Amino acid sequence: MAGRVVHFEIPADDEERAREFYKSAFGWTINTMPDIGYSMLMTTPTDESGMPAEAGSINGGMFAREGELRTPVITVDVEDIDAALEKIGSLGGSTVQPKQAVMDMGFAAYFRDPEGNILGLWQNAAPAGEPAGTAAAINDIGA
Amino acid sequence: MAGGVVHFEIPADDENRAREFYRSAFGWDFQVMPEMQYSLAITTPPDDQGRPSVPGSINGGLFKREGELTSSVVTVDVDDIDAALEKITALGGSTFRGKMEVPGMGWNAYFKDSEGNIVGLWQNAARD
Repeated sequence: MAGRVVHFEIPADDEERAREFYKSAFGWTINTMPDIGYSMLMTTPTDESGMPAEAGSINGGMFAREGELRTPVITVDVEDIDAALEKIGSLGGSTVQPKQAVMDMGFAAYFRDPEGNILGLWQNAAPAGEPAGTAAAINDIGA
Repeated sequence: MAGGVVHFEIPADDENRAREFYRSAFGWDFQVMPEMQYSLAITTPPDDQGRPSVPGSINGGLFKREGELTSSVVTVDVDDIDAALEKITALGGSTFRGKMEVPGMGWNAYFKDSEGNIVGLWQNAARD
């Protein structure tokens, strides 16, 4: 999955209002995770591993708008976030937020592309081809 | 699939520079449509109908940054853009740019959500 767009994020000034809006407008199922100030936005049904069951749509997340993260974010899956950020730096981009663990699911980071857009990076906790650990972890948060 | 996030868009001041960046950083392919100032960004292999063949990832586009469309866009598939925009307005959002035809493919539009984010809508020309 390396290099693919696998996730999106939408910032909200009023998360409750935004959840209500997206539930009503598009029928999204939204799982709030108050501990980390994040809501999972389920736009498409998932299989038992928490991944979208059908090709063509992705799920995402919502967070309180703050700091530099003020507009919707497109998130790219990579095998190694540190290596990706280094490469991005050498290509004229920059690191906005370095690698951070997301519970036991994986790691996230944000970068700025040469056009000034902020995008996300995602690295799964489990190695490719060994989805069992990832599946359990994602199911833990009800995604 | 109605309600699903099926597409993304990234604005660029310099489209060539942006394509080169995303090719080098992530191995994306681009199909440039110069007459539309738009490039399709292929991040995941498409099937023979141009849709992602593997669950869990989507393709998108790169466009020339101008006007109020200055940040990345996520695009939601709907059955009927006009009905969706009406509902969005009733829910506290607004139409940012009304329905436009993308010849041979479908229609798109942009709206502002309850938080002021600009989000895209997509309606396929032919439903499955």
